[in-house]
Amino acid sequence: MNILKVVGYDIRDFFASWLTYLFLFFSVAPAIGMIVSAQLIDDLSINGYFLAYAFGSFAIIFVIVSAVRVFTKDITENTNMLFMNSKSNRTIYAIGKIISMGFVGFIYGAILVIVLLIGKALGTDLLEPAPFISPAEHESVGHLLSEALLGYVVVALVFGTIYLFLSLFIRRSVFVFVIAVIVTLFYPIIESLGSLAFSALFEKDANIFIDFLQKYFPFSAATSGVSGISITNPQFLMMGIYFVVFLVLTIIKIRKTDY
Amino acid sequence: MELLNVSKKYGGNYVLENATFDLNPGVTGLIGRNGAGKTTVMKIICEIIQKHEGRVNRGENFTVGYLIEEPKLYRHKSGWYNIKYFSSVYKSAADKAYIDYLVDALDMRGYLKRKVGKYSMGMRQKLGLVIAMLNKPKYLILDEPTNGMDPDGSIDVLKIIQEFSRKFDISVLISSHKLEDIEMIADDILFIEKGRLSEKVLINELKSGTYIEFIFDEDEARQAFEILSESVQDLELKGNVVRMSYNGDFSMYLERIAKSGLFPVDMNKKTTSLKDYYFKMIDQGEVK
Repeated sequence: MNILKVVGYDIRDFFASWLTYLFLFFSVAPAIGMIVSAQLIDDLSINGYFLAYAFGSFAIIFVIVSAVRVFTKDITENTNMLFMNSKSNRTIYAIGKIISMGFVGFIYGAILVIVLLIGKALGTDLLEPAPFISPAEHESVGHLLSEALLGYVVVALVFGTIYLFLSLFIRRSVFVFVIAVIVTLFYPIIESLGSLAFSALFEKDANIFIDFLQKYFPFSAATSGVSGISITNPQFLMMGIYFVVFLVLTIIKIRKTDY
Repeated sequence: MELLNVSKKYGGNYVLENATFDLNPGVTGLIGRNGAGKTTVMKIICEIIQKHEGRVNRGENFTVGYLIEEPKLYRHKSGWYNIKYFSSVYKSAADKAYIDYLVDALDMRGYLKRKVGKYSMGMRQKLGLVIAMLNKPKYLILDEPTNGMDPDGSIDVLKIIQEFSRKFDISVLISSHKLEDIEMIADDILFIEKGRLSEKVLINELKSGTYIEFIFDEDEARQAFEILSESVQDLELKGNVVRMSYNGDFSMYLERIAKSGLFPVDMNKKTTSLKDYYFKMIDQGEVK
């Protein structure tokens, strides 16, 4: 099987779908609205972190939904069976789909970079400290832009691979979408509830629990952090480890699964 | 390609037990009831089912095309998109002349710009067959490929499958509920019942048998059967029909029953069909 063709057709389908443009419009609109508002209202000061949050408010869901569509279309149509006629084809299929998901993340990251550059061109100081947000420290605008780009790629790759792995057990595209949306939307809430339960049970500071999760299970950091461009390097590393683990598990599982 | 003692179980129950056979160039028919294990055998050959007991020797450069259960197609895309997509992703991508040949052979050209979701079941089957052929397979596995087709369409497609097999030296394994379909194109037959496969039967061997049917008034058929059963071994009674193998001379049997005052109201000489053979095997539980 030709992996480049698998990826090429996924990319072509991504750009051919009207849903892609709807998702991108809804992602970009809040950030553009913010830039326009800053131009019109004298006292309104925005920076790169505000823009990234505005972009991420929808984009963080859409990037994951767009990424999983790369393989859920095959589940819906049962066409994945046509790729499963040898162990090597199964491996190529899984890797091809993961590359495609990474590409989807890249596009979202690139759009955010463009939004940030538009903001910068219109006079927004991207690195200016702002109230209510405690962003990670960025050395330069270039550093901020590269993290914006990388962040969406990591989110698409990590969550996409986890859901691809999950879909090998339950081959229902609706299930994958529902889990993807629920996890993305509610994981931070579940994390907060968990920390409250931890605090109540062990009579310890809830922050200990939160810090532990943020360090070793930085899934909420990967979504809220990416949208705020405040994900730390150790969190990136941890997400990289999760990606590799789920990539290996996915390949092992897909090579053995009966269709 | 050969299967050696291949078994598959789901939840502790065997759906395929000790299947052993080889697949040679030509067309092999696979016949069995729903749930008998046909699809399981096919999926194992195509490696879609990975976990099973026994061994499958696929040989070198194994390439397989398949159409199992229902055609797997992108319904929101056109027929052309599906063909181009699968011909691109398969390594041994078919060239334009080969694709044109397949499309024209199956008379698909006029439909390929339409979305597959608007195709009839028969059209989807044909497109599924084109896609199964795209990687120029050595083995073609077809699970009820004429489902949803009208009788004329079925015959055309079966002839084309036979043509593919001969022209490209492909070993075809084909299942169908329509026994006449299998009878039309198969060179040999495998029967499967409750996960157990029969020995291969050559279609010519199977059809070489001729039999005679005596039709009696209902109350006389049983008496005639009992009289004949003293001297005829291969004898059957079905309703008011007494059936026996034809060996060239049946006058002595007629004479025997006539002595008892029994006379058939009609009689037929028939060649054994696949249907006869299949039901006989099922009745006698010979698929083991």
